[in-house]
Amino acid sequence: MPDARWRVLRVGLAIVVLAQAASAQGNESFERRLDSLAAVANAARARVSRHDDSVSRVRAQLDSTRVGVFTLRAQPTLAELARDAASIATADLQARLGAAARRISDVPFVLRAVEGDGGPSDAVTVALVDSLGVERAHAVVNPPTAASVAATMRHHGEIQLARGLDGALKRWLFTEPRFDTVTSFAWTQARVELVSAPSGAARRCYEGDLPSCHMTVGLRESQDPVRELLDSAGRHQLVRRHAREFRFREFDTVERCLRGDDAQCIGLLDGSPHVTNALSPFRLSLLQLAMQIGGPDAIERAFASSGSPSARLAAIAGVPADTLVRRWQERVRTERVPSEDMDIGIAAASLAWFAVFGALAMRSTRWR
Amino acid sequence: MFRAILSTQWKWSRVIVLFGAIVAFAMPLASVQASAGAESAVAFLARLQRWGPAYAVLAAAIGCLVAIIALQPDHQSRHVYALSLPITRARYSALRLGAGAVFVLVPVAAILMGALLVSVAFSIPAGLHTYPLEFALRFAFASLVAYAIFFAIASSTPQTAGVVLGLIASVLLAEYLLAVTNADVNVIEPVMRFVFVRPGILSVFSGRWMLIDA
Repeated sequence: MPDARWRVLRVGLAIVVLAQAASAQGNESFERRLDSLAAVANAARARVSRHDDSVSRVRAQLDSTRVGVFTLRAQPTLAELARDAASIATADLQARLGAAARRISDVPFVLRAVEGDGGPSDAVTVALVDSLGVERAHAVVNPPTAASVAATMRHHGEIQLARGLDGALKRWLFTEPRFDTVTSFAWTQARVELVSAPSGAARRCYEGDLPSCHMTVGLRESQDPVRELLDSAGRHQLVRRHAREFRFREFDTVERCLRGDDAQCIGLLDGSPHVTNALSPFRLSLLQLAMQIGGPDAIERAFASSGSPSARLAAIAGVPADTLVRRWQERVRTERVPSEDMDIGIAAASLAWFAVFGALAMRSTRWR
Repeated sequence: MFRAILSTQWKWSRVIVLFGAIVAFAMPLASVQASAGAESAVAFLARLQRWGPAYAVLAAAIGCLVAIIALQPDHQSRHVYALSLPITRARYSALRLGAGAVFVLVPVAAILMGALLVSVAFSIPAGLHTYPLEFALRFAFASLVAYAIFFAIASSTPQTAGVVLGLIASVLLAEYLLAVTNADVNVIEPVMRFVFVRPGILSVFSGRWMLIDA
């Protein structure tokens, strides 16, 4: 019995000793981990502190000023350049955008010298400060003349203004709005896309059918876009264009559609965004034309207007939507760029080279 | 004098000129016919654009062959005929050059007729336009430039031809050596720009050749 008691006592003692040792070892380990975590935290705090210092130092170096429609923050050495550029850009933007140009002043523009590997370089960055105070959309301007910086500020300003338009108009547009005029090249592209679109409505629009034009540019809602916007060939073409994507979902249906079963094509395209996406490229040119017709205050009216896209475009252009769409259709149909095959430059260069080589041939000594 | 040169040179060149004219007439018809089944105007233009280099090659080939044929008999006869005439070498050369240029215009007239036929008789997708005159003028200038270049080369002495070939070889060799030594210098690009970008020597050949466009 005493042996048994001793055995229990010895086992208990061993457990206590082991527990103590384990506890001591655990404490040491935890202390080491704590120390290392503290070191990491301290290093991070130091890094944040250094970053804050550098940011505040950089911020402290910027002069704030307001010139025209621009709120500027520029390094002192660039202040004059920034003011000159802002004056140029303001004059241009006010002439083109009218009263809406003042909306650009909500967003500060920052000008800094670009730091190269070997110190400051000649180049300048132009950036915008967003609502969180973060500088975004950095554009490097080199060489930084007042005109080149103004062009960058104008470009950024227009983009910023376009972003300010409400979501409904942008959702109809399928892209960001632009305030420049449509070039002859863009009209030409629009014409080719209109006649090439997999849509009977688009082709009827090209032929002069105004209701089809309304449908093509999304000003008239279609209850059944798959049937109303597309004909059988167009549906087949659209499915073939997106066959890879459709095959992932419904392989057999795609194959039957591509073999000519129009009902299968209709089933595939029903509810598909590709139907309206196929015609979305025309909307931007319609908006641009509306702004062109509407004059300098058109953009301000774009901000002030509400309602359906048709009503808003009419408000922007200052003419009824029918008139706007008719003019758009006329421009698409008639506007074109000259043929690339021949121009005065090609003719002049060719004649000059003909004369040069002809003269060389006459100067040859071969027959002497 | 010019009429005599024209007459003799026509005898040497007529096979090539007439063959070139037939091909030039047929090519616009063939290109539009081959593009006719396209499902849209964009696809039609894409198909038609593939024919562009063929027109450039045809213009270069006609210019090259007419130039070589214009001078080949003189080279073979060691310029006896030229030396027997009571005119200067430069004038004789100008007459030969002019006569060849007239023959180059025969395929140009043929391509104009082919292009006009396309614009009148063929149905092209809605929204597209034909540019027969501009297209034929481009072909004419390309043929004439090619003709003048090859005429100058054919007129030159073997030494001059050697120098030209040597220069081309030097550029290629320099580009190779710079590439091997990892030097960040591109020799070919400026040369190509000089040749193919307007107003470069062969700039008339580059770019799109579109009988039908938007």
